[in-house]
Amino acid sequence: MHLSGPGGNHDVRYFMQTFGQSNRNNPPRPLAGSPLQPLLLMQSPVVTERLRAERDSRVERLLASYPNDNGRVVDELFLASLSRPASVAEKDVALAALAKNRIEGAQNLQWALINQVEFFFNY
Amino acid sequence: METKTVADVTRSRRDVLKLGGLGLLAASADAVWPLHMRATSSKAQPRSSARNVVFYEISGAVSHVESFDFKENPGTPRDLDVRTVSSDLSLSHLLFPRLEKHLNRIALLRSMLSHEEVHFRGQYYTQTGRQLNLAFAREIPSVGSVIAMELEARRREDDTFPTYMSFNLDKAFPGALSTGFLPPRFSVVDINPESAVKGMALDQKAVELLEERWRLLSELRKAEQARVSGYGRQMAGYGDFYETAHRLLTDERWPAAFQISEEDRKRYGNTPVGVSCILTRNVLAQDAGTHYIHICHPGWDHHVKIWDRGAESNHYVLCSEFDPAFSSLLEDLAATRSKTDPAKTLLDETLVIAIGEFGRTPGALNNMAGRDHYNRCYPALFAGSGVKGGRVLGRTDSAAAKCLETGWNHKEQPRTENVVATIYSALGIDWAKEIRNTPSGRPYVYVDPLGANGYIPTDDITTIYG
Repeated sequence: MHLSGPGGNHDVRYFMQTFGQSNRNNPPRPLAGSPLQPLLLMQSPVVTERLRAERDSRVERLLASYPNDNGRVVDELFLASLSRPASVAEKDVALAALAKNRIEGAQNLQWALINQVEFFFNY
Repeated sequence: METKTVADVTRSRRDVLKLGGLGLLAASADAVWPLHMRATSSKAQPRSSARNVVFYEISGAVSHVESFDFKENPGTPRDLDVRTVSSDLSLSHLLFPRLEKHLNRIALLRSMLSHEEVHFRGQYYTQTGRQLNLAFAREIPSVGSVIAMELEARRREDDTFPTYMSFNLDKAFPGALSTGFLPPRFSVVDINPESAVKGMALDQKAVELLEERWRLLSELRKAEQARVSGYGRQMAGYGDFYETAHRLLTDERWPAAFQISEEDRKRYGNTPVGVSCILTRNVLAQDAGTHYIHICHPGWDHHVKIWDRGAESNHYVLCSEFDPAFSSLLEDLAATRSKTDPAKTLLDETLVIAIGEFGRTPGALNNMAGRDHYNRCYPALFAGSGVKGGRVLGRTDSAAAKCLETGWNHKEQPRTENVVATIYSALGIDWAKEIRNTPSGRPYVYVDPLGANGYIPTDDITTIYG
C-alpha cells in the first residue's frame, strides 16, 4: 500500500501524520487533538534535532551573528517563532536563561517557543 | 433516557487533567457532550471478563486456506510441512512453528463473514464496526474511542496512560480513525514503533533536560498569563493536553514501557510488528490506564507472488513476522503477573484477538501467482481471559470456500459487528445502546443490527468461552 506525501525518514512522516497530514485514502476527518501532538512536539527528534545550535540552524546562526547581544538573539527568536516581539516580562525570563548558559539557554528557549500553545494554535 | 448530568460535565480542573485535557475547540466542533444515550431494543449481557483487550489486526488479509484454516488447495505450496493438530485442524509447521505450541490457549473461529471486499472499506469496518458511509464518516468514532469514553469512569487517580493506544495504525489504509463526534480526549495515541523507542525512552539526562525546558516554558507562560488568559477555552484546553503529555513523559512508567532489550527483539523478531508486540506487553504490564491496544500488522496483501520466496514480500516473510511476535506476546502475557491482582496473569485479564479484514481466494493461484480478496469465510483467533482454548469453532468445506457451520448459536455467520460486541462484552460495556444527539441527528448505534445486506444478530460470540 502506498502513502503519498513528502519523503523524509519515518520520524518526519510520523510527526506529519500526527498533525493531520492526510493519507490520500482517508475519509475526511477533523484534526482531532490528542496528547500525542504535544508529546511529539516536546520530544520528537524532528523538533529536538532542529533546535540544537548545530548544522547551520537558526539558533546557531543567531548566536554567531550577535555574540554580544543576547537581547537581540531573544528578539529574533521570538519574531521567527511567534511573529511577535517578546514582551518585557518574557524578555527578562529569556535573558536569564541565556545568561546561565548561552548555548543551552538558546536551545531551550527555541524549544519553549515551539511548545507554546500560541505556536501550535497559530501554525 | 439516560442523560449525563450537569454534574458530570462541570469537573474540577484536576479531573480535566486526569482525563487528558479538552483539546482544541476547532477539533471538538463536532464533539458532543453530554451524550444522550438510550437503550435499543436488542438485549446485551456484558460478561465483564477482561480488563484489557489487544486487537491484532492482520491488515491486508492473510490467506486463510494456508494459514489458520488449512485446506489443501491447488495453489498451496508443497513445502509447508503441514501437521494435523486436532481432528479438525491442520497447521503448517513451517509457517507457524511457535503458534503451534499455543493452540491450547486459542479458540479458532473459522466462519467469519465480511460485507467488504476492498481494503479501505474492510479496514474501516474493522476499526469502527460498521460500514463506511461517507455522509457520516466525519462523525463516526473508532471502537477504541468509544471504549475510551465508556471506560473513562474507571480511570484511577494515578492513571496517566491513554486508554486507547495503537501501534502502526497509521499504516492501515484508513489510518488511525478519529474520535468522530466524541471529544478529542478519547483519541487514540498511535505509536510508530520505529520512532517511539528512540524518542520515548528518555534516559535520566533527557528527563532532566525536559524538566529544565518545561520550567522555562512555564516561566514564559506565567509572564504572558495576563495577556493570554482572556483568549478562551480553546487555548486553555490545548494547554491541558500539554499538561497531560508532560505528566506522561515524566511519569517514569512511560519511558520504562519503551525500554526494549536485545533479547526481546530476538524473541519477538526485530520487525515493526515484533516491536509493537513488545511495547504492547510493556504497556499492559505498567497497568497505568491503557486498556485497549490495536496493533496493525500491514503487508499481507499478496495479489502477486504470494508464495514466491524470491519476491520481496510474500506470505513466507509475513508469517515469519507474525509467528514470533504473536506467540511471544501470548507467552509473556501469560508469564507476567498483573499489578492490580497478582493472583492473575496479564493473559487472564486480557482478551487477545487476531483477525484480518477478510480472507484470500481459495483454489488455484491467480494469473500473477497470488491470491485475491475473499470475504465469504475467514478466520479469527481468540485467546486470553475466559477463552477456552484448544478448540476450533465453525466448519468450512474442503477448500475453505464455503462456510458449513457457523461456530456459534446463530445460523448467520458471525461478523465484525459481533467481534466488536465480544470486545464490549469482555470489557463490561453494555452495547445495546445508541447515542442520539450526534451532529447529524442520526443515532449512533453501538452495534448496528442493520448489516450490509439484511438484519444480523448483535450478540457477542460466546462460544469462544466454552
